[in-house]
Amino acid sequence: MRQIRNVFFTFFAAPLILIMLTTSGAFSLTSKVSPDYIPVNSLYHGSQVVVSGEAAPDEEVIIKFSSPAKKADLHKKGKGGGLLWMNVGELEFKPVSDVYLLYSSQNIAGIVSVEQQDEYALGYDAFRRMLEVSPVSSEEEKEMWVKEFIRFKEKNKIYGVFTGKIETQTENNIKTYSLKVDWPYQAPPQEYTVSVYAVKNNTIQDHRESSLKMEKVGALNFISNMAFNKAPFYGVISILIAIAAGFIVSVIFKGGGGSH
Amino acid sequence: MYFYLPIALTSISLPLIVGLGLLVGLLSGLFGVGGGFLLTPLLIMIGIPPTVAAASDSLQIVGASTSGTFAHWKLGNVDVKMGIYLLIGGFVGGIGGVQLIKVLRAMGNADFVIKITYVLMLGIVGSYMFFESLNALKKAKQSKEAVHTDETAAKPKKESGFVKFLKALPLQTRFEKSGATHSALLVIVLGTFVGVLAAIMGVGGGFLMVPVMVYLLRMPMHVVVGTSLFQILFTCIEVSFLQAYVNHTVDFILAVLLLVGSTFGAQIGTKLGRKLHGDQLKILLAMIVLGVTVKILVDLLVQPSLLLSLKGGH
Repeated sequence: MRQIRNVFFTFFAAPLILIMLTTSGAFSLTSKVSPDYIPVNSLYHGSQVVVSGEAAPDEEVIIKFSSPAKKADLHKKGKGGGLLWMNVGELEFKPVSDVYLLYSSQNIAGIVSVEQQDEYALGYDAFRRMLEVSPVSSEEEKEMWVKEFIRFKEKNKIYGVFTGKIETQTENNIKTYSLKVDWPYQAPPQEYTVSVYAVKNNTIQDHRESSLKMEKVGALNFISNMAFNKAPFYGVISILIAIAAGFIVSVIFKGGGGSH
Repeated sequence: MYFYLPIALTSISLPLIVGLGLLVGLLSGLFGVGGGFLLTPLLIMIGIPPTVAAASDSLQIVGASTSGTFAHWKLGNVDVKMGIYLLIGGFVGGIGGVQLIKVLRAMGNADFVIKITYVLMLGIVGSYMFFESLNALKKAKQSKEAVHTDETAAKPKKESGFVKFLKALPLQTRFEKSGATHSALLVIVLGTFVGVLAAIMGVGGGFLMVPVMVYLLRMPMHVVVGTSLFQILFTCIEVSFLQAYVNHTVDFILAVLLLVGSTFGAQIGTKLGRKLHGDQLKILLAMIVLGVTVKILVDLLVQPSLLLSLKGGH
């Protein structure tokens, strides 16, 4: 009897359980970020980052790049004296990420519930709902400055929401996904979080987080450290080098006499 | 080819940045202006954060004005005595101007005052220089003089009551290189005035100092250029050090790349300047100043494409 039970489990039940798991969303989402370390040297001009992995065949994939939330203080422009455009004050935005790049296989609003958009900060609508702007006098004014904030960041290529850039392929009941991102050189060196979400039935089924570290290296790192940790020395050395450069060029040119 | 900047945290095109340096160095060597009023906005336009642009620009002016001052010094165009007096005034005025800005900021209308000052000063200085130089060129053409010297522009035409008043001021000092005698007090006060304006406008003040030397101190144009560069050199050394020490905003790599262009530009400008007459130089500078004025006016009147900007800069 036990033998019959073992044979049944090996040939029927186990494969059945496996099939049920893979088709019911319990499939284990995987993600890999390559490279996960970007050395920033003096010749750095951006990089290409590939995020790839596997998901269940009936799941949509969302990929988000973000950095730790903080506050941002910016000048706001308006009409000074009712006539001339100029800086008319400051605005504080919080919580905001230095970089916010979101990629999804379909429009976020169509595949994730509003509650989960807010919970996982997915999409500009969620961004608008959770962002605090001060000082503002009304909701309309807040809405206007949030739009401006997004436009300001998008112009620097460090904010963006994109649909359809993730390449997928389904084979043997497994969906493989791949996203190639031109990582912007405007993104400041720090550690970023790459979040991958598997979505089905308007619900996030699973998610994975990886890190992408950008770090200053070599001479660039040396100069940066000196500027912040040995500021007086850095100031004096910079001035001396500038003066020396001026003299050297003067000597090279060997300007003759005379006047205008 | 691109370079990543350690303080600005952005990547820039090498030919573009060296080209900008060359252009500003050329102006510096030609007219004795630091070029901050032109270069800082250009750097911001190509994506350098405003605070880093202003501070690094100041460091590159140290290099360019060293090159220009040295070239002019070899030509005997630097009135060191006049430069030191103006420097003393400029230093005092700079401190006063910074305090004035603090008061205006507390009152909430600093930016309005800065912009209006910018437009008015640039507009008045540019227009005056343009028309004065144009008249001088016309007269020179009419009289068909064979040889022109810059000294003709510096000669007082008629001794007015104002000139008499200036001559009555105490501490009359002879400035040999400039070929003029002025009250040391007057020179220091003029330096202070430029210092206050430069601090309000957030620039080195070269384009204000040059007209002051030409029209109020009646210095020959070639000595004006050399002396202005001498004065700018010391002002920018002070500013660069303070920016590096207090704000950590001096980007050494950016300044060096700008310097590659500007030091050569300053030498070319100095050589080119020797081929031009004083009035031709003045009219060229006036046209550049007026061009910048028009650009600022357009920026003030037309709604900007982005209504948010990073803090710092002019």
